[in-house]
Amino acid sequence: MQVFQYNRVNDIEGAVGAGLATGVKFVAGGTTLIDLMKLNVEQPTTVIDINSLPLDKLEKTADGGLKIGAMVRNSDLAHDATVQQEYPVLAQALLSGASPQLRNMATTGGEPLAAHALLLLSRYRLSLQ
Amino acid sequence: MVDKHAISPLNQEDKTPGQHTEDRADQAAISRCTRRAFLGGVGMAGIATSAVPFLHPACAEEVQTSAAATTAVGTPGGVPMVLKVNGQEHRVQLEPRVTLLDALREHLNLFGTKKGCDHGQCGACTVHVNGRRVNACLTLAIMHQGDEITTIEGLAQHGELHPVQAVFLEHDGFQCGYCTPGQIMSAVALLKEPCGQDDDAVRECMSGNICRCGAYPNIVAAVQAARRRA
Repeated sequence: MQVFQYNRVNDIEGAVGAGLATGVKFVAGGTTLIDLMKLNVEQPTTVIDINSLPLDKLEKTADGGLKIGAMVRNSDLAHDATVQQEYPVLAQALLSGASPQLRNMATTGGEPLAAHALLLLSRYRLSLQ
Repeated sequence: MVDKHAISPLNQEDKTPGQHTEDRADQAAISRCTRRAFLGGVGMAGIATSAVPFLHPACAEEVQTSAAATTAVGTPGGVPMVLKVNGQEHRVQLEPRVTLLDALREHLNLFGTKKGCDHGQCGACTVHVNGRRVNACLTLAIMHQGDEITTIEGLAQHGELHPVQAVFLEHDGFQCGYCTPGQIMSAVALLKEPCGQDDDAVRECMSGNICRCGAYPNIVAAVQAARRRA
């Protein structure tokens, strides 16, 4: 793993500002990012820890929807009573992926970022072949 | 031509009664010494020399190392941080890229947590962070300042095994034992998690822990026994 600078941010404005620089990666659960950093697929020069951001809430919206905070962990989302009752497919999909340990770490916001990172990994594997 | 009897193990064990008494004392010393300390001692002494005279210094060295773990451990380029593991605060100086797993094993001398795949797939590195089970290999130590970290070393209290450790022994829930700390940490966490009642549910809830020996039937039996007692 390459050397990097580590910073922790506590508010969204600070995170957005820090994210504008080049070579920056946000870390939340870290289950994909750290894995890929070990393989040198990801080589950030700065890692911003966003685990303190106040984005870990699940809220019902006025129009009958559900607002899921980016920092909500997969296990918390899957076992939430509202999700279990009203969105069982989402709960089932979450519980079909990874392992209990990884679901305790992985976040909702990290999922789309992980998808992008896994695309990078597939390119890395192709380049090895 | 080599005389076969001269190198026979039986011949080497042909000793006087007095020597047997000393052997028993040495055996007792060996049982008090850990494998890690023994190998460390032999490694320093050199393989050509007899291991037995170095057993006691090796044990002494281990005690000193354990005591040193509570004080600052430095690394070039490291950042000072405090990690609270099993209720004890450790002041260490580590690079940000050090994973929680490597911090525990390489810097705090807590070798119970195992490194298996190092990619979050095998579960050998399972520890609890604030009561939740996680893969210590996929998180950075620096991210866990202020968190309550519990490792396999922190389960037993006052010399008494944790109930889950006890049922793993009763049900022979292991073979080689390498995955066992991770299995037990997962099983302890599972007791507080939503998980179905039947064996299939337990297998699913324990699916983050791989056992290469295939001790799964006994692991499931142990987990079910622990749940009945909880």
